[in-house]
Amino acid sequence: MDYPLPTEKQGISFSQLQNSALFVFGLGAGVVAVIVFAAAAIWGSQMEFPIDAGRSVGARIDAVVDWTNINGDWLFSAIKIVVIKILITMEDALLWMPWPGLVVLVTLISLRLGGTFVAAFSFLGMMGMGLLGLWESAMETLALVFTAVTLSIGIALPVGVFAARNNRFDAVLRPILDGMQTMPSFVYLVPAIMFFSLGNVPAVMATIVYAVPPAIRLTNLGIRQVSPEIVEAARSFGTTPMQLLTKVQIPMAMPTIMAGINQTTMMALAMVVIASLVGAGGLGEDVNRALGRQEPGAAAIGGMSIVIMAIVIDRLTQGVVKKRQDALRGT
Amino acid sequence: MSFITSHKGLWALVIMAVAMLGAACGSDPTSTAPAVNQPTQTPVIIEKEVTKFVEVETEKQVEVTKEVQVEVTKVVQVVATPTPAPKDVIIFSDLNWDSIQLQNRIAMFIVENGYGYPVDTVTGNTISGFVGLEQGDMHVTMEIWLPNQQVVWDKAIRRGDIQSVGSSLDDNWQSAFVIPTYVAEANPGLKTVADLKKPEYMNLFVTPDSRGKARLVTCVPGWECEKTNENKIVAYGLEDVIDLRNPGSGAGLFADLEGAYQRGDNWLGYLWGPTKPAAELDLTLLEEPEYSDACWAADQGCAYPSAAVLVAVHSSLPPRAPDVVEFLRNWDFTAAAQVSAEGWMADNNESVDAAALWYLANQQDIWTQMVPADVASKIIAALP
Repeated sequence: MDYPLPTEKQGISFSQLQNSALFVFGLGAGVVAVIVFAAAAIWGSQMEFPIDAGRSVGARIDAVVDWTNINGDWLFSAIKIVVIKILITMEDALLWMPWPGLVVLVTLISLRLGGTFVAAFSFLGMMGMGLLGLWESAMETLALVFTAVTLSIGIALPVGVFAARNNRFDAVLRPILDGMQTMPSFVYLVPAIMFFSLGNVPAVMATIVYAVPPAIRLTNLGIRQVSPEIVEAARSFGTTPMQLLTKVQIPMAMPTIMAGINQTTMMALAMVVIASLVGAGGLGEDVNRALGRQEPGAAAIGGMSIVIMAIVIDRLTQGVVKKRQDALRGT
Repeated sequence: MSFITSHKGLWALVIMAVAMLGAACGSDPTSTAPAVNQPTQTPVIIEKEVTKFVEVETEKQVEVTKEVQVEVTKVVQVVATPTPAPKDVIIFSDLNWDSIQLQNRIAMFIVENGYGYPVDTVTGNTISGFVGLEQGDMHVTMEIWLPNQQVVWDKAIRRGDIQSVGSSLDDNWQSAFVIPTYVAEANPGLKTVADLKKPEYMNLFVTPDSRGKARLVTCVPGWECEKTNENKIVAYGLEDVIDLRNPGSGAGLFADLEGAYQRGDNWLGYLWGPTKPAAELDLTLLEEPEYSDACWAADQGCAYPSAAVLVAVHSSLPPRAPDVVEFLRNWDFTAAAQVSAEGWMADNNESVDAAALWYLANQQDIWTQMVPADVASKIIAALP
């Protein structure tokens, strides 16, 4: 921490100010300590808070959830229908392609984006999943993760761009994103089931809540990091704000935004097993069932498949980021 | 840290240090405890201090007995006289549903106050709770549901880690497929599971993601009923009618039912009792052919048998606490008692802790049958 140097002859110097502030702080702490001491001497460990409002506040929140469930049904039903449409389309598309097709396709993409090693890993990993009988589960999980990531990007891009342009919105947004990342997901899973009813839809919703923050944060950061000179130059050529955004800022920020999407995908995969507790299918369900039957082996197989999937997707998206960065550097 | 060199900063530090030292001394109950009879204090305060003093003493006793325990058992081995051995803590597994939590609190109050064992709980869910019992991290589980936990139960019995000492919730609600009563009233023709074959009833439960079939929320993955429900659907010839929906967890099943019930939506699913939704919501059971061993062995195409809910203990408990095991053998807590306690909790917005005391205070003629008379009188004396 670097303190500003005391400026001369300004009535009261900074160090004096610092001392008196410390004195006041010390005095305050002393008074508090004396009160604590007195309270401890009189009541000891028996001292309790004046009221215990936990149950009644909890009941209030329950009432709000119930009210939302009854009165927000039109909204939740609409969201549900859209999400189900995307999910079923994705899943059908993934399962429509016979497995050799998908294996070859992913291996070729890996070869292009990540090199021989990544391609070999992708091939072996996918063959392994198939040979262990987890292909359908894996595709269901993939559909779930892709749906959640697609919707997350749809939310994160506009929100991130707006946050980059508006500092006040950014200041409000930040604690909300912190909350979304740290709030234990079980807290919002139960309301999510009540609103969206069991299955992949509440799972997608819960996954979005957990996975969208990095995409928003890194979109925000990426746009802010575009150098002011470039923005200035673009303006001087007479770009409209829309052109500035779509032709200059977003392309320049693309590597950072892609890094955010990569993080979002990884976090979405991390939610797969938790999502299975609200009835999401796929690998998470396999792990969940194995746990219920105390079969650590089956759980390990399912878990390893999730890891393989995560590594392949991670290398592929990172490959995209790298290609994009190289392009921006003009190589 | 330049402020330490300045005098005012130093003062502040000294004040803080003195105050903290004082607080630290003051908060230590043993140092203030001997000063009980200070005449300068008002009578009210003296009374408070006395009650505090007693509590500290009992806590101390527990700690001391724990430390001494090893030596005493050695003495017992040599002399072999039945000296009252110091009692070690008995841990109940506190699983995440109401009926077991209430039973735990009732049983714990009895064991602690009637038999003098220190008690504690460890929180868990079906899986972690079961593993904890096998390992001996917990000693008593008041509810093991069979046949749902049959797979893990059989494994544990084979290894000899745990044993059943009794049963609870003997009159439990049979597992069944249920619909909310408002659905049954709107569709008087829908009485049995087989009625779902009729398109007009199947269509009631079709949802956007059920691919044109009736959505039936089935049992928690990994429980035996998941498999059983699949067999039933095949036995009833409902494969093309029913889309079994995995609820992921008990909490998921209950929340889905609760949410649909609030909205007045059509809902079809598997449920058992006593559970919170079974107690609170007005539900109708769909009829199935009556249970028989023969049909169960053939294709499970009939109603569920009543579940066996076992009280299980870790194998280390019977040798060291035979009196508690004897009490658990006499354990007689019915689903009806659970439902009435559940109702009392909902009406008064109270916790399970309060409900346990309410039960002990109001159902004395039932629980006093489970314990010897002298133990019962100790428990009654300990009730608040």
